[in-house]
Amino acid sequence: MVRTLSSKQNEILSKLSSIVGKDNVLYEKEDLYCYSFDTMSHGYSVMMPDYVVLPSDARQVSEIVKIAAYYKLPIIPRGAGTNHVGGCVAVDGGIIIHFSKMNKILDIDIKNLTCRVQPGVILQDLQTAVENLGFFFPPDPSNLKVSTVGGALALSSSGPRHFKYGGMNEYTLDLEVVNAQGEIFHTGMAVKKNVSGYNLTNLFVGSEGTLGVVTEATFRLIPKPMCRQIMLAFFDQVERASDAVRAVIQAKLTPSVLDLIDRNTITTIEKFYPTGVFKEAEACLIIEVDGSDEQEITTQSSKIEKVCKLFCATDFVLAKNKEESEKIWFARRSAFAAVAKLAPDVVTEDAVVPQDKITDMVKKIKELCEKYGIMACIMGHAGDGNIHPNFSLDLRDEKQRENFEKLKDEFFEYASSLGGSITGEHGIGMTKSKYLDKNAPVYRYMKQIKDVFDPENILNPHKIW
Amino acid sequence: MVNVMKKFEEYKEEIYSCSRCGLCQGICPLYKTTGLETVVSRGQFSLLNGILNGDMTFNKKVYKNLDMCLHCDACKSYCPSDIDAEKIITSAKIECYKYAPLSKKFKLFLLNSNIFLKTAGRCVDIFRFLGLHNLLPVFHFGSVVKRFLEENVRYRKLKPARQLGLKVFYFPGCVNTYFNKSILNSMRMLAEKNGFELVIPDGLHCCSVAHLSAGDFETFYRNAVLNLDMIPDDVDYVVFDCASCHKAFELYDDILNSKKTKNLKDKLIHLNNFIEKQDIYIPERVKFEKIVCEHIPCHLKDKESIWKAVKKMAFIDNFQKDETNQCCGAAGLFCFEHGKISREISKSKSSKLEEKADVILTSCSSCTMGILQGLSENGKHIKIYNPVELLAEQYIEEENLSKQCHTES
Ligand SMILES: Cc1cc2nc3c(=O)[nH]c(=O)nc-3n(C[C@H](O)[C@H](O)[C@H](O)COP(=O)(O)OP(=O)(O)OC[C@H]3O[C@@H](n4cnc5c(N)ncnc54)[C@H](O)[C@@H]3O)c2cc1C
Ligand code: SF4
Ligand code: SF4
Repeated sequence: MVRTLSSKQNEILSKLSSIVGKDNVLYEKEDLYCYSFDTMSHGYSVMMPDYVVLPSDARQVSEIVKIAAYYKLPIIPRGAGTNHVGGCVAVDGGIIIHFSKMNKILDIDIKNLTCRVQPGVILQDLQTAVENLGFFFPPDPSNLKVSTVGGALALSSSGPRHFKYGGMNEYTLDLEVVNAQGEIFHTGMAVKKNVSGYNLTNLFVGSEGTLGVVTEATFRLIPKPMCRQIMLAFFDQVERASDAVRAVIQAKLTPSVLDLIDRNTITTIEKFYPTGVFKEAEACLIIEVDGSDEQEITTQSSKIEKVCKLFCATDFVLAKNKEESEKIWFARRSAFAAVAKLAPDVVTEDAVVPQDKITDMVKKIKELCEKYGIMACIMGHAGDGNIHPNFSLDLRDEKQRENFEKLKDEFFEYASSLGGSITGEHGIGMTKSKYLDKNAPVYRYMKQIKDVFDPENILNPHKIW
Repeated sequence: MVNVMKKFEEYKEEIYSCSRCGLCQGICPLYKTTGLETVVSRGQFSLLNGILNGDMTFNKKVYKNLDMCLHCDACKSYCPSDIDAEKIITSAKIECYKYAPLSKKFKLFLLNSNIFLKTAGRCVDIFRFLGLHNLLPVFHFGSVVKRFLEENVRYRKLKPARQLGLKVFYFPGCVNTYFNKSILNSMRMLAEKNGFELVIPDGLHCCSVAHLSAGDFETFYRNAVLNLDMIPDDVDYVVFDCASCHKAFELYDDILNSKKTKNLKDKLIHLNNFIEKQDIYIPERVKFEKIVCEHIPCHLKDKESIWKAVKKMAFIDNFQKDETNQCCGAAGLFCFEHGKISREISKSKSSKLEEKADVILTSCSSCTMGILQGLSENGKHIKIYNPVELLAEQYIEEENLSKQCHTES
């Protein structure tokens, strides 16, 4: 079906084509349809952009934004499109900037321990490149094989290593950004310390493409830990696992991974990816320590084992060699794939509670699942109090869809009542905007910031706000 | 036409069950090269969902988008929901084949015309005889074609060493039949050396895997019936040197589900596995000291079969497995239709092979084209063999050696 364009649309099309070349502009319905979604699950109506452009440098991005500003068209940045919150869908049409061709690692500066990258670089590619040189860039969302630097920056994505190493903001020194008028500017500097005014770099990390479009990032790198040891502790109560986590932290131990999975997750993984690594239990802690030498690793591991046993771990397994470690990681990484096989839809949610409230949160999720007849496999970065229930359901079923909305409302309300946050790493996007109290002073200030950077509201509209 | 293959609409649940996790981007060679969401399975499913829910109808553009798939199957093993994208995309293309561009239909028509292939093959023979094929590199893509036509092994009568006593139906495919006789020569030498009967009837048709991938189900079906008819019931094996032809015959059962296909099911075997499993004579007095790297064709049913054949061919000293699992980029007609993208994928694959290889082993005619294309892009001249060619070459080498010994003594 050839899309019939109005003369204005034709004008925009030819302007965009003159910037990026006609092969790098999509405008036919059949192409746009493929960009009408991200991982945000089904059940929402199709939201198509008017154009998709694939630029190759900041200058092109700036020109595209200038066109959008002139025609008052929304600009929606898109990396791998794997966010869970509808962050890169085009609610009111507009231009999607797909960064798949801005995927170059521009520089790895081993003298200054920094690197400079384009936003479309895949996180794993960056990690492999720096690790080959003996350095380390820790942020590790579990889909780092596809997740892009731009998306991870915009959502402040992280993973298990966050507990020890922190998230994207800890490593971002400077961002090159295109603002809503199409001007290119830098938020910081490629230096390790910089307090020359407000920290705009940190403001942009996590801003979900609503303040500016990131066209380049400079990160700091750290030395790569040389040794690792992974272990599993099984418990007959989630509470005991959660207490053990607290005790590990209180003992001033700093594992690089401190994840919790519940019984449903254990059985689902073993059902679809049987490895035998997971024992029958209510909860399992997946713990990894890393460091510069074997001695340090052994000391930490044995202390962790003692703590877990003190909290009545029913079983404790220490990987004996590389194969065993890989097997455990394989099983852990198969969690999403396993859950995805349970039902036509899988929705991963994200909430953070104070560490001592993990058990309450887990109990509440189970209670809600019971109440609404929906199944959940619960995983979490327990060290950070970050809980991810993965709900399996069929969103084509109206009743289930309705129930799920109610379940989510209660889930987030409860997380907030515990003094927690409605998101630790997935962001607000479209789907969680309704949970923000926009009248609270903090959001009023944030809205003013948004208005300063984007007075016409063309940068990723309907996201967060 | 009784087609028992699953129809597009029947994939509705599978298409819906794509969780849109996007992990397929991490493996799809086309996504990696083009950066377009429209080509990766998630994008394709999104479009197909649109068709199933009535937002979209099949048309020329939909066909064009669906055609941007190498049918390499890489995404299947990567997909958390285990969705068989390649099969689904094929089923959708069958549904909208009428919208395929005429140029594509014409290429498929030529591929299906034995008269055309025979004439073209004759011309190639004459060109080769007159040395005119040496002029090919003046044309774009000519150097790839020239190298594609270069024959590694000439036929030579060999002394038998085994008496396997099998009756083997060999499906040589279009390339070996009409354009490059090296594998056919090697196959004949393998049969003579090992004492088995080789059945290669005249007038076999294209296996039609390319037709099926394009959605031309009718030709695929017709050729399946015609080809199967030519296989005598009493053969012990039906052997293929090309992974894609083998795949086509395996699929014949899916569409026909007949007594004949059932009877043949356990007899279809790739040549690599045939070499591995049979008591094939392996020359012991020769050594092949070059570094041999494999390229595993996406369509190869037993992905370890090249390695298994090589393990048996103990004269190979240094074999490096293909750890990349990466498509060669040729994908049948794809390289003729989307040359630039195809070359880029081939280049990336070949670069990995060039790092080590003195010789490349593969088991598919289309892959040979893909790797050659990549090597040529990178200006490299590495020979590509099918395992059976290497074996036949060593048979000759061994006979040469014994002759030398005779004359010396
Ligand atoms: C299987 C799976 C596992 C996941 N695991 C994790 C996990 O462990 N931890 C975690 O934190 N998240 C996880 N996620 C969520 C999400 O994928 C990650 O947050 C990821 O980093 C998003 O990257 P992306 O490239 O897909 O971004 P996209 O989804 O493309 O974009 C995300 C947001 O960033 C904006 N954006 C993209 N590029 C730019 C740019 N250049 N400038 C400005 N804004 C931009 C977009 O507009 C959008 O709002 C997971 C998702 C899936 C599907
Ligand atoms: S990997 Fe599978 S489930 Fe995930 S987006 Fe691709 S096709 Fe869909
Ligand atoms: S079969 Fe190959 S080319 Fe086609 S979608 Fe899957 S990975 Fe991509």
